[in-house]
Amino acid sequence: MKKRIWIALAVALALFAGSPRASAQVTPAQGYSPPDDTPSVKIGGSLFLDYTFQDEPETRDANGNLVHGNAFNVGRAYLNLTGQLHHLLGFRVTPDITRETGSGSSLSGSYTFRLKYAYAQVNLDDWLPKATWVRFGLQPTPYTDFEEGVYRYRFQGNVFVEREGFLPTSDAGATAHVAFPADFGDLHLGVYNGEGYQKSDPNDQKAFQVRATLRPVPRVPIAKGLRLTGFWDADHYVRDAKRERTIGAVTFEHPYLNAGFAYIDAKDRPTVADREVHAKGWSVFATPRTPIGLEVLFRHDHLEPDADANDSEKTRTIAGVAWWFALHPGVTAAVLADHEQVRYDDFSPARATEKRWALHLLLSY
Amino acid sequence: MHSRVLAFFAAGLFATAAAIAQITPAEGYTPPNDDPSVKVGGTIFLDYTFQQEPEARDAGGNLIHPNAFNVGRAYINITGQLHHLVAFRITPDVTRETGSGSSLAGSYTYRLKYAYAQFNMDDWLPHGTWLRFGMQQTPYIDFHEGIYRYRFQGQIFVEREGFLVSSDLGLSGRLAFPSNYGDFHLGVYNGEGYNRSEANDQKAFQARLTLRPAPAVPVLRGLRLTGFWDGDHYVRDAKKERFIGALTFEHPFVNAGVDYIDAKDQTLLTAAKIEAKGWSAWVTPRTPIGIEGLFRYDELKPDDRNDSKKKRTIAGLAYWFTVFKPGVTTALLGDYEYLKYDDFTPARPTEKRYALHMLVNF
Repeated sequence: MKKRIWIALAVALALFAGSPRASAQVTPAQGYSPPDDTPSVKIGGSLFLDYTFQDEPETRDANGNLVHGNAFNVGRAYLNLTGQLHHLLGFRVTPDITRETGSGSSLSGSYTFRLKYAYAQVNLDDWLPKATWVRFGLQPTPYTDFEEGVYRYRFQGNVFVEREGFLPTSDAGATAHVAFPADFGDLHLGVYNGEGYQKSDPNDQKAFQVRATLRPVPRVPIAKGLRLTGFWDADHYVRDAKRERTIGAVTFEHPYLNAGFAYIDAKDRPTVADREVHAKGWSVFATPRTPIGLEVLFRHDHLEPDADANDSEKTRTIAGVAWWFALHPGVTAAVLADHEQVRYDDFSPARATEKRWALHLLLSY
Repeated sequence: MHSRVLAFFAAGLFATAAAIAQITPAEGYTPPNDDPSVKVGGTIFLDYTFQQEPEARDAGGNLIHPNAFNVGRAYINITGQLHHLVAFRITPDVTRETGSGSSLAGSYTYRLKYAYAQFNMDDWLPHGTWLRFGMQQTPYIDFHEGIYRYRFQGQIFVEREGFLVSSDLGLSGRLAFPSNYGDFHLGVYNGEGYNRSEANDQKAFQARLTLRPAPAVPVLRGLRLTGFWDGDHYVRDAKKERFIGALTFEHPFVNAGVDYIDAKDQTLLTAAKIEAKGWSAWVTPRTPIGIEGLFRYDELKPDDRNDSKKKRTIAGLAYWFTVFKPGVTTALLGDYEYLKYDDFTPARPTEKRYALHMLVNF
């Protein structure tokens, strides 16, 4: 494990170390305009709002009545503080909300703020393809951030691998991102605590994550939106107790359709005394789009949470109609009405099927 | 109840669609500025409070007068206009963590107070007409605080006594009447407030109607009559209802208001129905040099089944700084607050407090 950390750090250092050398090699062309190094800080944010009506299962209220739970909710309230301190050095600080549910807190029930992202980024654009950088701090993990960018419906709910608890979206670590020349894809690898942004690191184990994405035909108009992705997360709960995820994905982006398929294979062994649990699953989504902002969302997830030990299966189906408002670049607003069904087969104890109707709203700027 | 929520949604969406369909640009029409803009603002309430009565015992068993410097509010307001029809607000605020089970006990922690999207209907309806979705102001408290102006001393009567919350999650619409004759604000909310999660299927329907009878008469145009109704249930068939009637007045030399509340609460079907009644009156004489007075009296009968009564008196002298540009507000207030409990079981001691309050808003 230590060896992997050193490899990751060595890659990061190599990229760093290349910077001054590369810098020394710069021979300004005639009429060269130096990059703008004036510090700038911007404020942005994202809001996810919803009204959700639970059709099934009904629940019992304090008087014992069977009721359909329904509520207005805030799913996300990012405050994004991003800055460019030099053309080589950027940063981001993003608090997000979460509902405090602990009975020992006087804030129980409130949406409290906690840190989601806080990182420094050294840009290597001067010497490597644009969007090549090194990051240090609490930052997006390589896979979920990538898939969410294609999926675009995070405001309906997490992508499959996050929703089922396999990967967090943010974690503390050191990572490097290399964009391949001529838009042929990218590589993102890093070493993280492995616990996610909402937990502290309990021991000496670190997660090594790497995502490689290839865009086979970046010059072919229709096919340039096609990308093939492989992701590997090697971690341990404690020494010799594996936590490993392997993901293979195919995604496609086009003005009239975004679509994706992801397959995950996960191994979990919380302590050395536990048996290793092997989970398998896949998710497929398609979002047909129109030029007037009207879109549709279809998604189906299939999970075998303990594939080697039993036949339990969890399936999730989402269908919705959305309207994306035509606003200025950098501003995004959308409304989505959707239905979600979650079914549990052969679970022990048995679990009730869930059916929900919801109206979701996204604002991002 | 569910059908009422859906009907409310449908009405809101229909109103938006219908309004958009009515656009007929006039000749020489100048399109509105749709460049996105985001602003950062804030509000800070600071105070030093000395409790004269009752005395309390410290860890050594000594009788002491508790006194402390406090931060009552530290809003960070992020507001933006993404399009002339679409706006938003995100506002975190602080609150003291007092739970013994939290490692942050004692700290001021941030929690979400407002997070909403707003669709402006100014293109088709009187200015100030909109729809809001998300965590937003409830119709009555925000309205009354705007006239009272001394929220930094403490909450207005109906919030301080726990009848209403200032922010909740929901969908609401506000209609401004033409020629400044008043406004109407109604909405459907979770009903639990911004600091609790929804417990069941019950929703709160809140409506405020405010009339300004003489908007064109200089002295009288500050007069407004308000009726407010909150129809909600703790659980099915267990009522939580509030009715408020209010009279308010604004003038460069005096702001004043009186409101009356009638509240019905039945927390469970097996619990007793409790009816509470109360009223509050306040006046803030003002001078052109920034010196103001604050006088307020609240009286509450919390339970119609007995004679218990709670009375609060507040008197203070304030200075509102006049050196700042518009959009910046700063004030200092020295005040005395007296709280008396009559016929309470068990008996409760009278409370007396002196305080220095400060407001900074930008």
